[in-house]
Amino acid sequence: MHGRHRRRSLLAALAALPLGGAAATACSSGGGPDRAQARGGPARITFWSALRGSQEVVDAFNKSQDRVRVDFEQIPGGQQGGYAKLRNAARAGNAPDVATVEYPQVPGFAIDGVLRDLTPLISDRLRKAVLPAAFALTTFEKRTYSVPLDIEPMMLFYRRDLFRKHGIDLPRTWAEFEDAARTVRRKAPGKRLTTFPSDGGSRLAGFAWQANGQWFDTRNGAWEVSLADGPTRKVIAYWQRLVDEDLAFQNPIDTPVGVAQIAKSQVFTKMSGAWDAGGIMGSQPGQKGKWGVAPSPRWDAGNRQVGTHGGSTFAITKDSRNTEAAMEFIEWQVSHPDSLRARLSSGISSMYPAVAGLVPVARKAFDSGYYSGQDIYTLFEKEAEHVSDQWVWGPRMTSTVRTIEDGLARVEGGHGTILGAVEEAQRSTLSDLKSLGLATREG
Amino acid sequence: MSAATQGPSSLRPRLLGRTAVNAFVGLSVLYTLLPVMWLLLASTKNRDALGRSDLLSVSDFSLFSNLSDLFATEDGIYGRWYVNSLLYAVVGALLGSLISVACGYAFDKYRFRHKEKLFGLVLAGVMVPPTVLALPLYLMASEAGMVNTFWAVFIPVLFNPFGVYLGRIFSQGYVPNEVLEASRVDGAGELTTYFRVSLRMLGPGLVTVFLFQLTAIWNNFFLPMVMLSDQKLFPVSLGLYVWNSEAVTTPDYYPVVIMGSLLAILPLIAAFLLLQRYWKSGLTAGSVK
Amino acid sequence: MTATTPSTSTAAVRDGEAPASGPGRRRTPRKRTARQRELGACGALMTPFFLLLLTVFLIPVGGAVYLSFFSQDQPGLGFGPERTVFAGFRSYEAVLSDPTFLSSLATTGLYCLIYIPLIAVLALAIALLLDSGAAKLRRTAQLSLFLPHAVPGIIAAIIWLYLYTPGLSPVVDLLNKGDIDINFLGVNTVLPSIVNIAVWSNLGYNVVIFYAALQAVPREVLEASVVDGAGPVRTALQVKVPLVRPSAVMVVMFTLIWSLQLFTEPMLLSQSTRVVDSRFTPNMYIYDAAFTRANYGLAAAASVILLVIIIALSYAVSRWSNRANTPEEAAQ
Repeated sequence: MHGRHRRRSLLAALAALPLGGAAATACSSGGGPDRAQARGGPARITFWSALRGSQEVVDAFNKSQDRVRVDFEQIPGGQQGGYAKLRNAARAGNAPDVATVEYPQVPGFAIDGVLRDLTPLISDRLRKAVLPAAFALTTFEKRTYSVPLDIEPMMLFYRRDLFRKHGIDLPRTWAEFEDAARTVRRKAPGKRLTTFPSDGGSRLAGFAWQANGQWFDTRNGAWEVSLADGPTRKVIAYWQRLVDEDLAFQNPIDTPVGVAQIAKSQVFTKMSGAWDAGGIMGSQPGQKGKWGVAPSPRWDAGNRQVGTHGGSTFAITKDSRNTEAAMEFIEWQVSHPDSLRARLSSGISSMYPAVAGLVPVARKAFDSGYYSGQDIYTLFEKEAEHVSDQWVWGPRMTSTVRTIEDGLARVEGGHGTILGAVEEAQRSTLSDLKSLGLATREG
Repeated sequence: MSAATQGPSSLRPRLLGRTAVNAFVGLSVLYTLLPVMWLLLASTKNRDALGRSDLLSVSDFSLFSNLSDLFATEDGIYGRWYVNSLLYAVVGALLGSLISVACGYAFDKYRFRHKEKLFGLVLAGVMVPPTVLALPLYLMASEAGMVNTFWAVFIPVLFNPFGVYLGRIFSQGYVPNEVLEASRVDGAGELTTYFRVSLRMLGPGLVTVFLFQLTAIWNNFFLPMVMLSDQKLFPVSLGLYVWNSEAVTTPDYYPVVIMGSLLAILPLIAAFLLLQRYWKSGLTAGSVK
Repeated sequence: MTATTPSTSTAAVRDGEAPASGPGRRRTPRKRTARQRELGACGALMTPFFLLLLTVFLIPVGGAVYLSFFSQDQPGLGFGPERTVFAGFRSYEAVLSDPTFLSSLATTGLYCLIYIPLIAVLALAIALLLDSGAAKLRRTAQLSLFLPHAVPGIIAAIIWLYLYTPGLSPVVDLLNKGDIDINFLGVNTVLPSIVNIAVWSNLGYNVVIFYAALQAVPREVLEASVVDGAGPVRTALQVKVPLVRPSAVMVVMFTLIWSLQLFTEPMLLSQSTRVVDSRFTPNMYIYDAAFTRANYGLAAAASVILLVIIIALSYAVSRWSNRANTPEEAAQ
């Protein structure tokens, strides 16, 4: 598999060689690559992604024009699979032209030189179309390293039927959420309002984000790391209390155990990015009509700010020989209605596009029957406006999140505290960044 | 194994002691055998029967359907892993043991400056854990564009310093110096003597080194894990590791992993049973310096 | 160096004589040819091995040391171009200030403290029993005990993982029926569970080593002990055990070296229990640093630290055994 890929990308690189040179000069002169391509047939680029529906998108793109041919390879999702593969390929000098990278991993790959600076390649049209809060997450020192596909505000998914049955009002603040948790604990033996996810490092980040936490800060020319800052401590104390007082389950949720808990109606809510509306539909087909979607609870009713959970971007790697064609494909992918339609045709997805103009397309394509006809995209749209833009992901996010989750697993087993887990991740991340030779500061 | 050597008669313990001794030894034998027996029995069970844990019932004997499942899962990639393991282990151990024994023989039969220092370097190779070398090896292989190739695993596993150590001992024990002299008087070349005469005498030692290296390579897990990302190049150990991670979420993989594990231990068990006396001599040569 | 002596002895090339390019070159043609032939043969037999030694041992060790001191740095936030700089002990400081590395060392230390005495004592005890003459079917017993050694580590770990897993394991089932509810993969139980896998895999191997050493004990020594009126237990403990001390040292040393490299078993268990995290042992830390964090300097420094620990401990064990031996030899 790998060998074949290597040959293919080598061929692609060879085919694109004169072209790449043309493109590089075209960059500054503003001349069209089309002229060069007219001589050598369509430009071939390679694309790796773990996102479902990518094959459909690539097929639609290849059909839509004849300047660029995209060769697609589905790669495994998750930390061990896809990212390791991308890193290996980059080391060997045969990374694909375009790769899907989730937000938290963008700065890490950028620092390691795997991703190109896309700033000169991004058209004004695209620059304007994408939500600024999304671009802010992929831009460092005024250089943009990837183009956002979706932005996923954290939502509250809740069981309408169970809320009604137990007379629980939709909580608008975290204080109300805690009250609701007490009610469930009292009225429904063996059940809980929610689960504190011990596999939820990225959810914890989303919670901290909402509370105005700032795990990483680059404003002073150094990576200031403060995973356990004041706002985060507030969030942690809140969840620690819910766990200590047995108001919430504590276990991994993106696992068979977590799915079974929901299937057995033992938990009333789930907190995830907007994309999980489709996720719940897929994993709990039997609970059609029982779920509703609501804004995440707020810390105080006056402040509408939310964090995000999930979301992907597209980047061009250093090994790409045809960056113009690659960017053409990326722009089409994130902003063309046909791209979104193709992606949604492969199955249920409720991703919230980072290009605002596509929201009507997504709304129309999404069958909201599962949510009793609720207009969830309008809700997502409102929430996406409140995604606060101060957040910065760190350069070794995979391992930061992993260390937090390792600690949370021990907390689940009765050892230590949530704060302890985060503080350990703080020290470990600092060690990591220092040994990489980055300017660091302990916040 | 001299089972007949009894201690002096007065050393024989009384009946009670004898029972206790046999009970203790019997228990330890059960401890080592039962898990393998479990694997054997579990391989005859389908997924549902596995969960019921009445291992001895023969009602749903699924050995053959498990076998065909094993070779059908993911387009029969297990067969490929098995062939890979055989290539890495059998060819690697064959080549590796020849290389090591030749070197050990040279250490024994020839004299040259700094010989013992050089031998010390070989012994250092025994002490340094292979896992420490894996990362730099990976980086080297990646510079050379050899990561994720057959050679990235095959070349490092040839290195067997313990085999050199054994080779030197066996050379001392099996190849009398007079044979070499006689051969030289006959005017035979040094290498001709080695290949025609000495190597034949070193045969049993070579088998021992081969056996040890075969086990080590068949066991190898860290290096393939570091070097390989293409499943088609995986040895069985790495493949089963990946499948086991699937089994955690998809229990359908359990019978397949169990069956795959059983097949994967057969060659080594067969090798050990058939070549019993060789491993014994290797162990004792290695331990009694 | 006696160059005039015809090389009739096995020591074909005299001590101190340099390989082919040495002073031997200017000797008479006939003798030079003979000696050179021998040296050539010696070189031919050794070259393949030493090529391997160079490429897969010396260069990687050097590479690890180099990587731990030099780094591809970018100034500031790290988005600029890279340049290679001498990083000094930066990576070492980072490793040693990383709580997850220290806890991996602590875990491995605890593992060694449980595992090494346990397997050494168990293996010696079984070997003594086999040697006592009271045990029956010694050959079969040894073979059975040795069997797990033919089971690859990953498969031993799989077998035991399944024997620890409720719903798969007859052991857990049996315990449940007896109203005993043990989670073998819990925070406190997982380390003993890993020790058990290692004991199972290596017990027989060590029994065979001890047994072979016991068989080599001269019978006269034992008979002398009987004449002194010692019973079988006293003979075993006071006569046999001291005589197999070299084997014991070997067993402890190799077990130690392998224990410090613990990787396969916890790596497999980590798929099923999150209590075994991705940096549970130093080797897992190294793997994680290199392949999850792409932090090669950190991984290299951790490798070198682990290597130094292994060498230091091996040295300590052999020193300790030498010192322990000396007074005894003096007494004899």
